[in-house]
Amino acid sequence: MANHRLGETNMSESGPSNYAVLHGLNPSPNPFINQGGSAFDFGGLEEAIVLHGVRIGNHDDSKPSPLYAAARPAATLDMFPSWPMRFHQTNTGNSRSGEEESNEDSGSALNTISSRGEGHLLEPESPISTTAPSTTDRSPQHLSHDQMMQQQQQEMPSDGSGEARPTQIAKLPQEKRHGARSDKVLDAKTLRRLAQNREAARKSRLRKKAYVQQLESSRIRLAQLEQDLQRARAQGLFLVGAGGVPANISPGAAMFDMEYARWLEDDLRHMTELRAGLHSQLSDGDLRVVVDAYINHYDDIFRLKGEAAKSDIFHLYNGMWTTPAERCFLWLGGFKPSELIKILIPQLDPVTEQQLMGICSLQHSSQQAEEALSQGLDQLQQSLVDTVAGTSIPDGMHQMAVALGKLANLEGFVRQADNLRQQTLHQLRRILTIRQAAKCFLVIGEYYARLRALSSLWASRPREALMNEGNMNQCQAGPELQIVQQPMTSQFPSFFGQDPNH
Amino acid sequence: MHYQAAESWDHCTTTPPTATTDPIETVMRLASENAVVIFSISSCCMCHAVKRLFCGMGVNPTVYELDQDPRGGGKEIERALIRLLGTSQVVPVVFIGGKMVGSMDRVMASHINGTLVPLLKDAGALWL
Repeated sequence: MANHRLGETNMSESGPSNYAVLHGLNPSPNPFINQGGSAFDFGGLEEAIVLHGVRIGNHDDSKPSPLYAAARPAATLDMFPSWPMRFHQTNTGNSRSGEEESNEDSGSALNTISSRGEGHLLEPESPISTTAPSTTDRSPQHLSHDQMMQQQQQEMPSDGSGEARPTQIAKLPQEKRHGARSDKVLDAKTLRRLAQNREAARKSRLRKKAYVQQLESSRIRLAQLEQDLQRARAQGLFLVGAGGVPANISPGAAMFDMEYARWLEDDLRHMTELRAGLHSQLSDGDLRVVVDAYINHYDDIFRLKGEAAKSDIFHLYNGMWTTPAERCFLWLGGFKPSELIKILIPQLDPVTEQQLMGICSLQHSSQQAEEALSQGLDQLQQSLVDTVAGTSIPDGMHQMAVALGKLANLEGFVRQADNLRQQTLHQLRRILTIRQAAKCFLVIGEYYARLRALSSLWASRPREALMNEGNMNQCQAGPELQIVQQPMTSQFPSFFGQDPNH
Repeated sequence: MHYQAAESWDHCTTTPPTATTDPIETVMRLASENAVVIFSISSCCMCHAVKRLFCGMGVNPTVYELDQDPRGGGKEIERALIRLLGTSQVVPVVFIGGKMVGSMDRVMASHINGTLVPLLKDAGALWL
């Protein structure tokens, strides 16, 4: 069908107006098109006719970009409300010429068109002219229109201005009176009706064009969003729900979150191995392998945290990578070693006197070290407060620069705290036997797994005013569903009515 | 903890702080004068933490604040420490019994693995 062919020819060219015309030519149902079947069809035919011989580079063309798509002129012509007047003028001129003359004119005008170097326009012309009858099968009006179209095709090249051509259609019935359809009586009422049809068609085309433009821009936006998402995924920035992750997350933090999620999976695997090793009464040598692997596993996370501290210290310090329940007990971006030892002491049975002394002295020294670091941090905070609160003299930029310098010390403190945690774990390993060490690490792993589970359970606990809160995380959903939700909600917090800084 | 603002810095005045005196020698000399010697900067928070660690253990360290040297020799000592430590982050640095223990992470590691207390006892900084 000519319409589709036109579409194919012009698909490479951009522009919603192109699209609009294609839709106009497309007989498929479209709410925007069905203004009144006959009216629209008429409009579609107008476009088809326009496509025939509209010159490019039309001076009255208000569109800035001279698209060589045959569809363009139709869009251009949408802009001119003064069609009827022009149409009448030009048509009266044409009507005098008669068919033969218009044929001659068409020939010369066609040559003119090709001489202007717009020969490709002739391509769409022929399909439409030859297959136009097929498009007219849709309605009874087409029959008359088809002949009008052919005549229009011949008449248009003779026209001096492009926009006048579609308006010639209204006059065509008058032409036809002299032509083949002499039995058709056209009075003023019909003319008025036809003009109204034209107006309605034009309005519907404008509306459709606006809608399509809106769709196009939405499509572009969607494509961009998908592209960004894909790029982010490729770089591993996809947010796995380890905690209530906010949407505005730095690349370093996102990278750490992803690696931490992987570490958690490994942790589960290590714990399963430890459990199996203890249950199955593995030999000490084999168990040592498992325990050493677990120590390395912890060394990995401390190394990762060290790297993350360089790129986003606040992410670590504020515990945004942990679950809410873990965050309650956060100390300088992680667990407090002395607290951990406190948990372990009852689990150590059987233990020798010497070992118990070793463990207690470990607890004592880690407490001292923690105290020292906490006091150092207090001094840092106090110094920062003094800087930010500032002196009576307003010295904004300098103040900020000094504050920034002091903030940089935070990384050092988190690093020292992680160092303390790592040393404590290693010392535990040294003091205890292999079996005791295996059991201790299992206890540690299970403790944090339970804290994480507690966070999930807390978030999904049933409550009365559930929906009123407007917080997706608090829906009645299991941990898995929650994790699936979190990336969505954290990416589009406003959409879900959620506070991004949850 | 006592701050060597006047006495030890006076030692520096007897020997002119020029190229003839090796700054590292100065550092080692200062470090061996007391059981526990800490080189610090008054505004540094990590230095504050290390000082509090020793005080919390009942040790009385000798502290040299590099930014408070009345003779201006702090810069030289800082340069010497950079050469000794190999990093630009020189403070805090701890010497026990004249021997360098290191920065905060080394001090904490040795405390956790139980080697710090014996070291302090040997240097006479800590009594049971």
